Amino acid sequence: MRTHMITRDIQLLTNWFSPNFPTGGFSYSMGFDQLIDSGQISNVVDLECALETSLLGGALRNDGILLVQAMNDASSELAAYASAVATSAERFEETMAQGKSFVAAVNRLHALDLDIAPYPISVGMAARKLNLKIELVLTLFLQAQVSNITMICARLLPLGQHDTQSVILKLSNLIELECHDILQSQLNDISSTCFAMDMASILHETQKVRLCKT
Amino acid sequence: MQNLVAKSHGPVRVGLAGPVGAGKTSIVEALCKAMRDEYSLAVITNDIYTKEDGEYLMRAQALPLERISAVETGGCPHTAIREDPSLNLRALDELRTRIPDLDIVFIESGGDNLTAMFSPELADITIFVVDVAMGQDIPRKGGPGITKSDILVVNKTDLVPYIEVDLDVYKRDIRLARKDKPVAFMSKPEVSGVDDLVDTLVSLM
Repeated sequence: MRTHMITRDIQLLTNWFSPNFPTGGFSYSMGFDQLIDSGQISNVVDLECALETSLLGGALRNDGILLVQAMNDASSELAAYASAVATSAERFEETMAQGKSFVAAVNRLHALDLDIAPYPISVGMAARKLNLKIELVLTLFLQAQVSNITMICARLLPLGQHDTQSVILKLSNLIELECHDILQSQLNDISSTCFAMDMASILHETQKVRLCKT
Repeated sequence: MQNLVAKSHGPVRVGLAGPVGAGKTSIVEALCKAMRDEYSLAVITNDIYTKEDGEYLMRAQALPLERISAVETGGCPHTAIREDPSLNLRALDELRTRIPDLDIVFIESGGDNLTAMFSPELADITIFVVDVAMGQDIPRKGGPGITKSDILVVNKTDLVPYIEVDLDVYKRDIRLARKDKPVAFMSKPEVSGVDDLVDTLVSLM
């Protein structure tokens, strides 16, 4: 019985986090468009390093914390808090825009009535309503975020497919470790030590040729 | 030439990308005719849903039939040369099996937009083709094709007198976008030839 449930969870989640799911994720780069434009990321090693940093102490980790909080206790204060801690206007834009699209899609698909919220919170609220397993939701969410950023960088740098796939594979161990940590986290564990990436997201606003929306 | 051949353990793969109608196929035709006596050549054409480009090259007698391979990419021509070039890598393998002594394979992408660029696993050298009639703002719009390609070809310069394009401004903006990377201006490559482009290409090998 339990095996059956997990299979269903995985089926739902792999679809939610597939590029086929309409959130516009392909256009939201978390500032990586700027990191590439300014030359701070110019190869696969730079990319791996940046993603690692974000998972350990930046936007990716913070999104994971927000997702876990939303699954444990979704409240409107949480959505407001998440909006307030977005480190730039574009970070706010990308989390709200994807959250809005995600909520519109799952509300119709699963007959839910979720309110619009930042993306990780929208995912957490939908997963909570559908009783999905929290470890799976968090792991696959972070895996999908890493995969999406890697796909964006493959287009902009450009990178070969072996390089992009090897980054995703290498980071999967770190994602697993981070998930253990994030599952124990509280809301006040949100912080950022990724100053260069936060700055990149801000500088992207005035970037001359913007290949991604954020 | 020897360096790239040794590095890639096979033919040098030259990717040509650019928007629909820029003149990619005509340039491939001209390159083949200019280089086929000296090098063992083959072409892979990517078309969205026809084999028109491949068939054009056969009719133009740019290369013998067995040296042309047409890939149909469906609605995502950029995917077939960038994120997932499996179709093209298979076509390349088939060509290499059929013609073991290949020196150069031209891979012409399906027409796309200014951001489509080749996976470095598919192409060793990239040529991006635009034409002046697309508008004066093309160099300013940038994108990986304009800024990062190894050679930028600006085609159809013979049209400049008939359109609202200032070629000096165009050249200045290209210089700003590409610094010192090579640019080739040409018109009617299938008629007037591609000697400069061939020289630049060979110098990069």
